[in-house]
Amino acid sequence: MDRLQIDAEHVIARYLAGQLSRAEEDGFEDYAASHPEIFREVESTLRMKEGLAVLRDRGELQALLREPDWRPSLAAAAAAVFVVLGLGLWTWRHAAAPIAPVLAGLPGFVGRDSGSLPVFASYTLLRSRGESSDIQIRLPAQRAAIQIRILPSVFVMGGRYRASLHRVEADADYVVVREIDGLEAGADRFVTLYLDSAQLTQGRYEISLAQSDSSVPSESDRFSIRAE
Amino acid sequence: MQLTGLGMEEAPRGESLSHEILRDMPGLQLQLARVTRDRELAADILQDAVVTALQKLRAGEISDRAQLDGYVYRVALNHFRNHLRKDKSHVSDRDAPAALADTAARELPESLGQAQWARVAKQLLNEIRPARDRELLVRFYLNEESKEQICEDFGLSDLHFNRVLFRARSRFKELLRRRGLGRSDFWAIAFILFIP
Repeated sequence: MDRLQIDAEHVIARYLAGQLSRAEEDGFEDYAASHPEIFREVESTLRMKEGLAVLRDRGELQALLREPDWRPSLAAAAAAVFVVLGLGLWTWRHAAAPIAPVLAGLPGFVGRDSGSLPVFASYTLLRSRGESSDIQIRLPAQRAAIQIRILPSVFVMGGRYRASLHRVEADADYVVVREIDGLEAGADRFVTLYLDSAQLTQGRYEISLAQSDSSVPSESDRFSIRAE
Repeated sequence: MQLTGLGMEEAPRGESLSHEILRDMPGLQLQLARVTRDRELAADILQDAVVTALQKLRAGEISDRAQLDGYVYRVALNHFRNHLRKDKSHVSDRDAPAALADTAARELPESLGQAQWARVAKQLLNEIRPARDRELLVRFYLNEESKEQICEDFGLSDLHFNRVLFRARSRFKELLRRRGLGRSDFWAIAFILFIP
């Protein structure tokens, strides 16, 4: 047995659950005897099991497993779409200016319609080698949009992305501020979104991007931001 | 905490090393306490494993710190799995594990470590979408259902199952690290303290 097999076949979790065959058990134990560092992984798995067990003991697990009720949000989004369509039609007739799709109705993010709010600043986020550090974002004195362009680590032609904005609390807790799904990358492969400065306060945030059909974003698509 | 089998003059150093070793395996300690439903018994099992390991170190059967920690972990893990088997042999219906867990929860007050891991697990579940993937994670890690059963119930491919678990595992470790809960892990401590 090797590390690749251990990871690929979830050997540690299955070992802890007593789901391995005798031969697999022997293989894992032989590996562990000569690679004691594998117990780091075992310990991490046990911590996850314990964390989940505590949530179950507290009676919090079922609520976490339930799908969030999106109906109010969908209704708000549908209403916003009508408003946006109306505004778009009006603007098109009166100004003949192209209106990009708007992601209104989702506080924390505003649409691509820079006419609704002035764009105060633009930031481009892409992962580079080396230590990552917080990206400083200056908040405007007046309410404005802040353009964020993110280069996804995985580009899929015609793929959709989900962006999330989390506020990092003093106790290092991550609180979801807002999420937008269904974003598309532009021709330059960047996904563009806008933050509404009125929804931001000074402090640390994390913006992450994931493919719409994936459960969690990869580490390369998480960016720490400090709003000042 | 008695360190039987060590000479009196060696006990203080042995205890110090014992503390260090045990500090790096709180997940195992607490899961052991959960399956034995007795924190004292779990502590005794770990302590016995440490004492045996220290004796092997003194006898030259173990040569370095990594082996020492690994040995303790392996022995304690065997106890954990044995108790788990005993638990499961008494289980006759699907609700029983939850009932057992409830009993354990009543008997054992929540520790700081447990509260922190629960918080990380909660954040992880909040980040995972769709709900089916959250359930997949819980059924595999907590309920210990087999991959085959889960994939069949959800109509999932191996690939999807593996991807969800791989990402969840990586994210959990990352969240632990961000909260400073992953740093005391194994082998982070300097290679020190040998019993002559």
